[in-house]
Amino acid sequence: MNELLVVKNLKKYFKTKFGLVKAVDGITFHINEGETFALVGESGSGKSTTGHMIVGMYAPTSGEIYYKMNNISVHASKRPKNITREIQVVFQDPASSLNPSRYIKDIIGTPLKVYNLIRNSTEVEQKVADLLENVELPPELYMYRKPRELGGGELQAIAIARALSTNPKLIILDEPTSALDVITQAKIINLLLNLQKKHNLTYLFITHDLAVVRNIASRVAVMYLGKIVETAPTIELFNHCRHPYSMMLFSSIPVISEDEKNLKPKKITSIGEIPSSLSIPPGCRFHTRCPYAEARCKVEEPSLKHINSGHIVACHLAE
Amino acid sequence: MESLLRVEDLNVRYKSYRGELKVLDDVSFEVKVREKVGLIGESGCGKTTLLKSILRILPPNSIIYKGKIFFKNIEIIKANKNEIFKIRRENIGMIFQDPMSALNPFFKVKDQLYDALRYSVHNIKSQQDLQQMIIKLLKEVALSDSERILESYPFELSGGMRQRVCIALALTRSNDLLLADEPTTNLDVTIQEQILNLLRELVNKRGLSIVLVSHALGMVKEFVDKIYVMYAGQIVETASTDKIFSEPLHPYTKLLLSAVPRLTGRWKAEGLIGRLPDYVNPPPGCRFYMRCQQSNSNCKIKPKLLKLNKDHSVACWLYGDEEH
Ligand SMILES: Nc1ncnc2c1ncn2[C@@H]1O[C@H](COP(=O)(O)OP(=O)(O)OP(=O)(O)O)[C@@H](O)[C@H]1O
Ligand SMILES: Nc1ncnc2c1ncn2[C@@H]1O[C@H](COP(=O)(O)OP(=O)(O)OP(=O)(O)O)[C@@H](O)[C@H]1O
Ligand SMILES: [Mg+2]
Ligand SMILES: [Mg+2]
Repeated sequence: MNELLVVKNLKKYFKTKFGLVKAVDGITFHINEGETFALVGESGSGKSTTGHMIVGMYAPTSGEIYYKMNNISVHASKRPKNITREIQVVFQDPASSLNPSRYIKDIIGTPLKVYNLIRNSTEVEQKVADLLENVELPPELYMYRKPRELGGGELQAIAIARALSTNPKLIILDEPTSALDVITQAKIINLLLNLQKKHNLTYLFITHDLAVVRNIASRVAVMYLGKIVETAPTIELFNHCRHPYSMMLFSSIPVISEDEKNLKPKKITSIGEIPSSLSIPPGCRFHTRCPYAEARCKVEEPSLKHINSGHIVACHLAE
Repeated sequence: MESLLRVEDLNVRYKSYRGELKVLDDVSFEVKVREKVGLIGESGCGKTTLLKSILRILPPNSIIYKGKIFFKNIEIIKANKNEIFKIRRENIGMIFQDPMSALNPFFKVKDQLYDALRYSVHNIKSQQDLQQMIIKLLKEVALSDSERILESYPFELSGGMRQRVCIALALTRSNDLLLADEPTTNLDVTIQEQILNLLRELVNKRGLSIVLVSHALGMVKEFVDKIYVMYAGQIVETASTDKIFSEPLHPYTKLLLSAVPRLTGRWKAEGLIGRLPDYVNPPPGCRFYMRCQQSNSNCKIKPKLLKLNKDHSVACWLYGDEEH
């Protein structure tokens, strides 16, 4: 399989008055062309920051990002235009990423003009209408409305339409359906999957909705406090997760049926407090909350262990 | 149990260039003291509109066309500005769906929380008191880095951290009722669980009541006592949480439940056809009529919300006798 994106020992530290926030602290992964790679994990663990570096909102503190073997570890303004066109993003907070007082037509139409994808203004109208159709919004009702008149779900759909406008190859989807009801979510995910098949699109899917991940991702990485603690093919991870943080996470998924309850790992309750990202615990950074922690977990950082094909875990106790 | 909030036949519309959008249509809704109520339904069905009506914070192009809202003994729609301000400060808090719009991007988290607390009912004697109260509040919503977070601007926080700041803000104001509009969309399930436990504790200890609007039906099932299902501005079914999940009656409720992604991995996204009707010219009868697989000629007349038994009501011609 073709590796479309490769990330090596990537770090992003933010300077603050109180010290360095190690938002992303050395992560390595790859995404194959045409797959859906999910990034899940604790709120504040660095998922969005990772996505932001890949689209080039800011340069990494250290480490590398390769897209089709090109080193793109720089700000987007320094990347070739054909690469910035191919990597698009749907931001986590749709309302704040869309200008509240512009017409939807202009919001979706701008990237079309920036990348010279249309020849004249009637073509803009037609293309924007197609894109709105795609995300289940009737163009005649939405073309000339503004984000401030719309609900959360409608905004999310518009952000997706905008990301699709440049015919991208890789899309970072940061909580793309969290504001959508289950019906609209199912429709949009169906759409994303169909587009993926048709155009061989690749998705980096960042989400807290583990049931959606179970249904659409090919592989999953679990993040905790700036690190990837476990990576595995989806089914393997849901059936045999090995890192105690993953177990804690998976055992807390709220479900609506008995069948699903039976699939969850045994309940693991977190002990201790969530540590500060300014002073990351030594050794294994999860040890302060891990019910299984041993002496060496407090001093020695676990290396990555290959459990079996594609299943990697960073835990001293996993054999 | 004593009633805390009662919405009666509420009709809310929005002015638009195409004409009036007739969104809420005769919505009736009740929350009792210490009750946890869920409000679910498709994007754009009017959930946020209903919550905003309760606090009277609807946008300027809205019209409260008809209906009444009672909070305790106060009639919200007729209340004067001072009464409403007092309620917003002391009685009813709201967690807004979009954390960025609830927070001011130009002020540090610290200033936003200080302001909220200073004008709340809490008895604050000194600066130190205030500081301590805020740190405790942040801890309760699982934010451990309190020093840094207080000094941060919203953009320096992760989506879920911003959301937890909004929850903390809302909690300073909700002594009686918390309106939580998609409060946990950016939280992982472990922190979500911690927040829900905190809310349960407030219900038990302080006697708080909660309205939870959410698309995450698994969480809704675990948390609330009673559910209202809304479709295109109308309440189509209401029942205890168990009943909604074990014996859903309205074809729309069934459709909604069938679309929930499952851990078993058999997610079928087919058959979810159609979309909400246009609010400028909504169908005069059942608003779900066009999408319903079981519709008949009766459905062109609007069905009333019919009480089938103590805790189950449905607005659909398939149930009850002819009269309605
Ligand atoms: N511009 C910034 N300045 C300072 N700190 C930042 C900045 N952006 C992010 N951070 C910090 O980096 C950490 C990781 O944030 P990030 O948004 O990547 O988390 P996340 O995994 O996406 O979380 P969530 O699930 O809540 O969205 C957080 O502690 C956050 O406060
Ligand atoms: N200020 C406004 N002007 C015009 N129409 C509006 C305005 N605010 C909301 N609407 C419309 O009213 C309808 C109901 O919106 P509301 O935000 O209440 O839905 P919701 O159920 O909260 O949806 P979501 O789940 O997406 O948040 C939508 O069709 C929306 O476009
Ligand atoms: Mg994020
Ligand atoms: Mg809403």
